[in-house]
Amino acid sequence: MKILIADDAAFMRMRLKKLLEQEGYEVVEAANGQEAVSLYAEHHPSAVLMDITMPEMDGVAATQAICQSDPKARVIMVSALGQQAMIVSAIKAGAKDFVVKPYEPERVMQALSKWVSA
Amino acid sequence: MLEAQEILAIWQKASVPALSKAGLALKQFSGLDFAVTESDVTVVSWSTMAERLKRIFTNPLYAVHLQAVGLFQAHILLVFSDEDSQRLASALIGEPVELPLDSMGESAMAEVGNVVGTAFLNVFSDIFHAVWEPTTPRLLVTTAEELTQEISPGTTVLMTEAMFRVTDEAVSAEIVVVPSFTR
Repeated sequence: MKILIADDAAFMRMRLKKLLEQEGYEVVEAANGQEAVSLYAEHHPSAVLMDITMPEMDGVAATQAICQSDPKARVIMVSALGQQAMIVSAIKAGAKDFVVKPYEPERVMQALSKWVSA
Repeated sequence: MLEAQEILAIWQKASVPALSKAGLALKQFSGLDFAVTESDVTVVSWSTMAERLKRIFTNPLYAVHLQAVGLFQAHILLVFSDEDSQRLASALIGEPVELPLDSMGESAMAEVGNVVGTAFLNVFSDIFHAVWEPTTPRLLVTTAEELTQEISPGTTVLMTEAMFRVTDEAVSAEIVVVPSFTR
């Protein structure tokens, strides 16, 4: 099962990739929102783990673009920006869930399991 | 609409829980037992900042700089000595890293700034019911003098400052938040 990780921090992509590969997922990486939109169209992953604060295009705009092209897209926000208004924006853009950094690995896996199996 | 004095009073009150949240985020993210010490809200002359930093750190220092936009404009600085950056990056990456940090070590440090700085902003956002978001973090390997010259938020600034220390270890970090109430 393929998961797209979108985060401008190489360290965060490495950390999430390690976690997901241990659980048997295949990973595609994007370093900004624009790249995430392109890679989503190319790979059609089972889910997306999306940061918010990124250069080129932020995670909320990228989520909106992905969900407009594929209303069944499963985008899970993974961001430090756990502010009420931002969570509402992300959900309005089409995100299914919101994991606030710093996170416990189990929280990410729980969100993925819930939405990938849905 | 809040008056400047009211905003200032809220700023002073909210800084304490915001620094606690930032310290907790640093602890959770790094796995190191960081605690907040020596927190203060003061009005200072920015020209004295280099001297303040030099009292705590030797050069070179690693600084993560974020700007906050939305509720207010602000500068957030998270400052470490090079040795503490090495310890923190090693803890995050899960293996010993060398100085100067490579691109993965620098990315880890920048993300520390993002997570800690945003945790601080989130507390204010909850109080004011308004988004207060950071720009992407920028890691600087610099000196106290160059850092304070480059950021240069004004001559006299309101500043929230705290030291994060790991219990029983010589690992510490300084967080400085400088808001601007002119929009």
